[in-house]
Amino acid sequence: MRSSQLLPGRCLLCLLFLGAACLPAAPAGRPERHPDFEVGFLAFDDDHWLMAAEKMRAAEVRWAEDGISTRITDRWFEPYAPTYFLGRALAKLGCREQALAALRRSAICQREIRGRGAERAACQGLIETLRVAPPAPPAPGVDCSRRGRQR
Amino acid sequence: MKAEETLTPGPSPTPPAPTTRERGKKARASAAFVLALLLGGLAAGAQSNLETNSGIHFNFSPPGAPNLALGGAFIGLADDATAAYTNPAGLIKILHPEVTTELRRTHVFTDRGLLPSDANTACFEDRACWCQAQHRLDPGTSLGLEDGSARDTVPALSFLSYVYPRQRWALALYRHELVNFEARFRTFGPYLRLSRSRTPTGIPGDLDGRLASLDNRMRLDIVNYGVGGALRLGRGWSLGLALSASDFRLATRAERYVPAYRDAPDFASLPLVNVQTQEGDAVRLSGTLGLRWESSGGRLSLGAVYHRGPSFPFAARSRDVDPATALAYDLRQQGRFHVPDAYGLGLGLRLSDALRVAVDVDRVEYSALTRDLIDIFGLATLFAGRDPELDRFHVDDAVELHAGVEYFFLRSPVPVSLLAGAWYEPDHSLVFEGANEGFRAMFRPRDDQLHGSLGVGFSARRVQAYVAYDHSPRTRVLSLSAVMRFLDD
Repeated sequence: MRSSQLLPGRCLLCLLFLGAACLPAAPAGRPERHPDFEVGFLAFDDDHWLMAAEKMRAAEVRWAEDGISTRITDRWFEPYAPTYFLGRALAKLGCREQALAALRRSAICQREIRGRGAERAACQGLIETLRVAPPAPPAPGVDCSRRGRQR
Repeated sequence: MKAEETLTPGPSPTPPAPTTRERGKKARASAAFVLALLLGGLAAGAQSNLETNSGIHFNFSPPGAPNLALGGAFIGLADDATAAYTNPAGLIKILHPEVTTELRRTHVFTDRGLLPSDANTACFEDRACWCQAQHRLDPGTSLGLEDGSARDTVPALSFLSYVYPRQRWALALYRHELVNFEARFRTFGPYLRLSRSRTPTGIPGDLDGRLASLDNRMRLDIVNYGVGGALRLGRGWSLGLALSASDFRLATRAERYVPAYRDAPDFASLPLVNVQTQEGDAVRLSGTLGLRWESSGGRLSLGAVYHRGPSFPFAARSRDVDPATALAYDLRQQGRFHVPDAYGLGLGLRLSDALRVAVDVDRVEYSALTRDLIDIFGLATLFAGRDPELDRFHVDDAVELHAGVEYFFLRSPVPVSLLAGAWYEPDHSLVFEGANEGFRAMFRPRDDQLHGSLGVGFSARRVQAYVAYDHSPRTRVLSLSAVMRFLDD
């Protein structure tokens, strides 16, 4: 190999890598990763509502909902909205009051977050649906008053 | 398969029909394939010593624009639909059905033999040079042969896949272009030694002062139509297997002209001396075996993969078309074109939601290309026992290093990512190291290549789109890819 021919390319690539490495990895103060939200979202995606509710509760304790994109897998992202997903999971479990409470405190539902209009509309629609729905018992084996894992 | 050689003066014979034994081999090939794949059986390999073959470009880089931009480092990450080809074990990472498409436009700078201009050199307009000084072929000096810049552009749908994932397994259907190479280049007959004469056949010889002027056309396509699957094994492990029917089409034609010793060739008026062709059209099985492990938090992933290259038959022919020569020959042979096996290891590291890096090490067994190499010219037959020196052709296996980094701008409503990568591609040219200076001139080593790549793209809720560019001194690749996923809500 003629190293002189490759030198400019090497220098350019080194600069690119250095530049990329120097970029801030995440917005200031925000955790680098959200493993509880990630696991909770995957559980939500698989219709495992109990697991989803548990992980979303843990995620919102760790970092409050901000609606910023969070990577789930590959190059697919979801808004970081643990409270919103908690509300949706509780609604699926039949815990209407707890679901309404979660959705009403969800940041994505309560205020304008850029690019999250669709989620906000869905959240507000779900609140309205739950609000007018007749009372119903929770799913079998679900204790809506418990905050931890339910079997 | 050993080359079968016949020397037939006058009219052309029909190609030999496959023997019963060969048909039996074909029938058993499918059943033996999976076993051979799992046992990592040895690959045979062959092309021919036709000059046109010296610039074939295989596309072993992973499909998908973002993976191209990562410097091709994707074995360890392997978490999108292109994993169907790169490392099928990674298909298990896909959550929803997806369709992925990629368009690639590849510029390959093929070679022409030409001499550089200096004080003792006068060049024709089209860069073919006439050297007035006597000098030996020596690639290490500025007076040696240098590569030209005949450029070939191949825009193509290079990858298409559909992935259907379930919780413990995933299935993919895909189409992948392994080779899409088209070249049309002319050589003007480079000078090796001015004190020597030249052979009237134009076939490279030991004592040539100037090589024949060639008009080359080549079209080579190898397209894989495959099905891949992945199985979640637990504890972060997954296993993947992809089997594909590889559709091979080869058509090359090299026309040889012998202009007057000091003249530039005029391809329109010069008499054609002889023609060499290679033709193949076949479908064979190939496959990929992959393994992937991911840490419990998804921070670290490792991958290993083995690609088993298919092997295709082709017909090679060399015939004299110049009525002025006493040599009336029509030489037909059967050869095999072998796609090299390749295997690799990869690492993916997710430093944060916003940043991840990937590193791969691949080994491509290019040396398989020289096994059972056929002598398309029939030198031993035409020239009373001349040694074609087929054992003096070689190709080095290549150990490639790939590295890339990807950064996501998460605050953007639609996340945008920037990618950069580099990879090192050792020279894998077919090289001749025998006494025949004509072959030494045409089959000579080239420089190793360092590729640099960049990419950018965005990911909406259901759609991703990426564009990437890979640059090296001999290739330029522009890639566009899009992914659409199908969500329930």
